[in-house]
Amino acid sequence: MLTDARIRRFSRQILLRDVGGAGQAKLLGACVRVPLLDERGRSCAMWLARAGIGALALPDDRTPAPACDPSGLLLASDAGRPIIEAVRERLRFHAPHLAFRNGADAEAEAGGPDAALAAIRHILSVV
Amino acid sequence: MAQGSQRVLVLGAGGVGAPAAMRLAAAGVPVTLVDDDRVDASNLGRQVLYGDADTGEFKAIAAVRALQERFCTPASARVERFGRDERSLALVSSHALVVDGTDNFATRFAANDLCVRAGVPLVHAAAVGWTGQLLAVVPGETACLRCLFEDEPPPGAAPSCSQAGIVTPLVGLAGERAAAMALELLAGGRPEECDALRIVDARSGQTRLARAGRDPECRACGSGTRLPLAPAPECGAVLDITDERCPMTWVRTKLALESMAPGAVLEVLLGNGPMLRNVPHNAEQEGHEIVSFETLEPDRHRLRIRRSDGTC
Repeated sequence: MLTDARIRRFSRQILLRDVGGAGQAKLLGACVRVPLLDERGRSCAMWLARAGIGALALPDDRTPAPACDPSGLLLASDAGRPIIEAVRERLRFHAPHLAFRNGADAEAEAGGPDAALAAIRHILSVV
Repeated sequence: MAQGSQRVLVLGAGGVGAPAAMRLAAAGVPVTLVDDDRVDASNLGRQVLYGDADTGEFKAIAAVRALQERFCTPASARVERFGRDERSLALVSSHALVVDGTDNFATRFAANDLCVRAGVPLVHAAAVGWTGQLLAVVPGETACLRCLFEDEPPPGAAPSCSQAGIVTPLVGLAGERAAAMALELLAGGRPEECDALRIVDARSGQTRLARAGRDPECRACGSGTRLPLAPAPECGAVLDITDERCPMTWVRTKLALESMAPGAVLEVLLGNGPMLRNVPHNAEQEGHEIVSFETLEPDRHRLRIRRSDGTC
């Protein structure tokens, strides 16, 4: 739902002709699966969250988080935590609205911001 | 390639500058972030170094704090307006490379002109709507921004992000590519974006390189008439409050400003803690202008305040 706070937060995307209020609401109602929580996957999840995707489906990856995350999602203090726990917590910083689910409307395959863009194009049916 | 420090100057701590700074810091490259803007709620949909709690704070300061939570690479903040002036030229000259992630044409062309003048390589990165563009400039060797576009468009002629909007992950794509170009230049290489403008079409997912050569009559790097530089801002007095505590930090600053003529600039040396937020906030509340902020050492900062003319 487009509350006043969300309209302000996502105003630059709503300005786009291909997005608008209906498109942003569609993004907020969508769930994207990010199959891997490697560096590219974490980057993709971060950009999807920032763009206002409503929910992410993430793998239950419990390997230890790295000491340095070039994607910028994780903090240095996350080193050694189960990566899924650290990722979920840090994604809340980027998008307090974000939910975590199992089923998804789209899949972000390759990772990084380009994969986030591809998922957004798919959800909005932008060609 | 400039010699000396490998520190990179990142202009703009917003959509493009933030991911560029993150990638550089992750690669172990020290960065200086320059931005005179504050975090607004409308930034949070794409500017990845800020959260809701940062709203109202200077972007450069919040960005450095966010970088230090993630990486052990040194990072410093400067809250000041970057322009075609002597102070900005000195800033450019003290860095090995500049990444320009700003969102306005005046600053982009100023960055280009100062980098060419100082012989410092430049990575230009911009994004608006569904389109991004990137250019690498090696002064004296490859085409500069002014070779391609000659001059900044008149005000209102080209839409900004706040007018045309932007699709969020595009700033990440542009920022990450800008950092990769910077790392290649620092290593002595030549990215594909030398003598070629990379145009990213996020709507189709395609990118292309538009070849461009140097303009012999370019006003920055050719035989054309150079644009003049403005002098560096003056400083009227210095106040050291690093050992003070709030509210005495503001009391001393307020008394110093009252003793100065309208329009004069007070340089305040600050330590860490609440004074970093309170002193500039109170100064602005009383109508004074924040001219610049820079981190000198991890626990020592310099704030310049221009005294109001007393009419507000």
